[in-house]
Amino acid sequence: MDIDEDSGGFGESQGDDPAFQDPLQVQDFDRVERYPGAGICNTFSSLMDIGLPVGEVDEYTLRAKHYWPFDNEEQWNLAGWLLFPNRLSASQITAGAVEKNAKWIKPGCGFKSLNDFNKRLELLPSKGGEWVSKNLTRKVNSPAWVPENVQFWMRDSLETLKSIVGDVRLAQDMKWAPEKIYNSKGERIYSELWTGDWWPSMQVS
Amino acid sequence: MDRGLVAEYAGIITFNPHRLTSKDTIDKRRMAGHHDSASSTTIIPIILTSDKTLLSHNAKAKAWPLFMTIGNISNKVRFVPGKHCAQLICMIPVKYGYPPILNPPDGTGLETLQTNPVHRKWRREVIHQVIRTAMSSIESVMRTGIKMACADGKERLCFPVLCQHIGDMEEQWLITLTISPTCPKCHHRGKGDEDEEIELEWREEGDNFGDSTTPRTDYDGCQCRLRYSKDPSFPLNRWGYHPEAPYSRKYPEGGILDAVGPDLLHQVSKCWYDYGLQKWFWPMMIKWWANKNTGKVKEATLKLEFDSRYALIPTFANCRRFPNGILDKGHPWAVFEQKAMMKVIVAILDGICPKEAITVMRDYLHMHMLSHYEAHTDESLEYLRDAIDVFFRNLRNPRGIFVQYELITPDYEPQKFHYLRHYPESVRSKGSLTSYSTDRTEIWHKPLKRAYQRSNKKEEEANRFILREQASLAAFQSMIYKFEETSRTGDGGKEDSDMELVVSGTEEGDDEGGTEIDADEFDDCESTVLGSTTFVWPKSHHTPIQRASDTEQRFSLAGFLEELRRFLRRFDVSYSNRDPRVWVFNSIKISYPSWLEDEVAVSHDSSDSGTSARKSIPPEYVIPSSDLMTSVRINANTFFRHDTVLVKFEQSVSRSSTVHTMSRRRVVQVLLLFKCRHDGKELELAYVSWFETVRMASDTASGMYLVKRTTKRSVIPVTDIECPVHLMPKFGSQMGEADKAKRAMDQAKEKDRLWRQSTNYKGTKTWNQTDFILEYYNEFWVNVWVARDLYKRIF
Repeated sequence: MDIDEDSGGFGESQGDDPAFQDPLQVQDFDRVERYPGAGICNTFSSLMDIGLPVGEVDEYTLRAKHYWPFDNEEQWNLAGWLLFPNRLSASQITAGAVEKNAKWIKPGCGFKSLNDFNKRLELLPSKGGEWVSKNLTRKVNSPAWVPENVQFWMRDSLETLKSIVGDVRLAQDMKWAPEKIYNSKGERIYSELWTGDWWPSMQVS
Repeated sequence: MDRGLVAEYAGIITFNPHRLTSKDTIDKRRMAGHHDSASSTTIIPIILTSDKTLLSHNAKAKAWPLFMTIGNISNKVRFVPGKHCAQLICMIPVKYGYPPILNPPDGTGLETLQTNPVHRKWRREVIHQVIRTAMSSIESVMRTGIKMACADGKERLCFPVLCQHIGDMEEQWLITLTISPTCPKCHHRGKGDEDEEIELEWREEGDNFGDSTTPRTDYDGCQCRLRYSKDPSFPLNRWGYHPEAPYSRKYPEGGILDAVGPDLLHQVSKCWYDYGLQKWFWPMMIKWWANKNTGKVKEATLKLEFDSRYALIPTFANCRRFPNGILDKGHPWAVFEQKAMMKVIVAILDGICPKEAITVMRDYLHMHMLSHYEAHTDESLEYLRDAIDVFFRNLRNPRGIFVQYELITPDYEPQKFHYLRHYPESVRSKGSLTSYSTDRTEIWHKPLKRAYQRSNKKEEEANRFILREQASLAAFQSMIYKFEETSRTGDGGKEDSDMELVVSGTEEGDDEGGTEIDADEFDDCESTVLGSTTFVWPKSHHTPIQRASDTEQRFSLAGFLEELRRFLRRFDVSYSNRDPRVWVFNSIKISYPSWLEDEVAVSHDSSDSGTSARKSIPPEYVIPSSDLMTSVRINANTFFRHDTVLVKFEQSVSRSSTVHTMSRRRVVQVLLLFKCRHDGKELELAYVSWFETVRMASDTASGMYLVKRTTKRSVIPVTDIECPVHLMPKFGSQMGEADKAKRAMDQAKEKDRLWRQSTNYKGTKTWNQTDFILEYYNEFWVNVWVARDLYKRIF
């Protein structure tokens, strides 16, 4: 698997690279993993904006890319069915979605194993920052009962904030400036945060 | 520590003296040339929520998630579970350290860590350090701002500002580093649940620390800590502050004291049952009846009466019934159940409770209703402030019944109730309170709980598992939405054609039935004008087309034919004694707007708004939306449920009486819903029994209208109906009557059951308690507390 050869990523290579017009290769795991920004992109739709060569790739390729890390729409649907509204238990997934146990699933549309399913889930571009574990260590002359370190989990709040701010799904429900609104009688209405006095007092514009 | 503290604050105090007073810091920076145009700057109001939650049903596993969301998102959307408006950014550690017992070095015996001040201080420090670390990357850009790609496709220079930290009272004391039970919003001394004072003597006679009129600000907190933390003669805790600095210590704007606010759930909602009923009203009523000169009544009798009354409340949409009453001690009521109790409490208390206490209860309900408004005007805020004032005045009236019975003291004001006083100002600054209530944020905990159930439940591993699960689910869901978006834009036209299919399908169905019903009314409901009341009739009618006289017999409605003729004569004077054909329906669906005119924003007035925002807003974006259309079914059917509705009543008001909200409205009970053909037109009609308004709301202690059934029955067009209304019987003041009524009701129910058994009846219900109650009693209160729109309409 010499994947280094066309390592430009499709952002730059556009449609010139013949690899991008071949649906089979795009489905291949090793290749798709190099999608630029896959690990950090905010929402999936921003992948489109980065530069999918829309006009030059045929419809099927486009769809298949959308479903990454799942192979195709059926597999993606199956995953959705396993996860929502409540995720099924491990044994149920093994019995119902692993191809060798569930004969009714079309080949290629199920999962090879439970592990395969989990791995693909983890490949999904995460929203916001990665989870990291941090420690608070004790000071030198603390009382004896203070533990050596207190561990907690957090993630980069700025990345998370970026992902919320840039969430296109919420675009029509977001406001970027405060406002004073009035009803037909001319009375001020206080309802959302941006209609109150706090925001204008912070931002004079 | 103190030294470090001073150092930490030093930068702020000396170099940025405007820390919180300055209103134009961001503006100045903009002038300094950080960027080019004014429209590309914005602040991002950050809303944090931290709430300790139980992961499993037993109290073993706890989590303390810290969620972050932003104030740019509309309140309607922020709490929709699938939208992921709130992101988990940190899991605050819950358990750490050794078992909570230690041996103090001075040999005074065992001491639990929980009460050890050093340990508590350490815990506070840990929590603030954790939150600070979690927020550190945002903190680093608070001063300079950062260019971010916003959802609407533009790039703006964004200044994140801490806006709100949602939490319950305990949480608020912890994150603001104020000493419980002082108020985090002002220098009110505060009292705990049991009316106890602060844990240490923090105020002496004659000290001037300010009171509820002096607001507590971050600037003030910071100054106090600097000045008094080292002064042994004048301890800092007298000001109500802990010596440590909060996590927001270095934020240029928006400190933590500014960011905490009212929490409706734990304050006005929960306190009604815990305090209002259990601590004030119930003991007061017991004492009142026991002290009566004539006709003393024991607690058991009172309880029976009270509970029977609850059982006798008619059913209504969103109004839970309590067939066994509410005073069962063994039953922990959930908050939504307590809210249901609250809706009908005034009718329950009427007659068995002194009048002045009923007014206190009424004011409490006013406060509850008003504080839950989604859109406030200056007028409604004034009402709210007034209701709060009047409530406190009546409750703590030195000669009032609660003080006389020593249930409360004249200066009674626990912190939970004191917070009410900050409600109006909080609405003015940050908008409606419902979106800052902890019950709304509870929904974000659900995925965590589910994930915990599937984990191996070992602390650290479970934690890791939850986080991984949470991340992958969120990622998958954003994928789903992505696809839905594309499919929606892709085949928008397809949906419309589907709709048409449905409509034509119903037409065919009706043709099959042998009648010619125009599809007009179905067209109407498809193209509903937002904000207008619409009626949807079912596709099939309940009875075959019959002569009115047959209908009259079948439903045993005396006078129906005569009234129908009288009604039709209005259209056609020559209408003689014909027997029109009618067909009857079980129920219709009414959908009506649940907002009022004053809540609708007019767009052209928003003159001082941002430039780009102006065009993009639809005129009615504040409150009206299709979600807020209330859809209710009005029943008038053979399973003996006949709903009461409010109808428009256009006849002139008599000159002497003053105009009030019920002047142009009447309450009626719908007896029959039917259609009738006349002049080639199809008339949608209802046969109703009228109630007259006996007493005005302003005359009664409970503030509700009293209505009485009359013998008048008539036919009205369905479009006269305004909305459904809830009637509560006027139980009177006779002890034991309600119990009698309840027994009569149970008997009737039993009789009906036996009848059905003996005749082997297989049909639907033949008996309904609402109808029974409406028959049994004469006079009814019009319940305004049952729904917010009714409250706004009638009260």
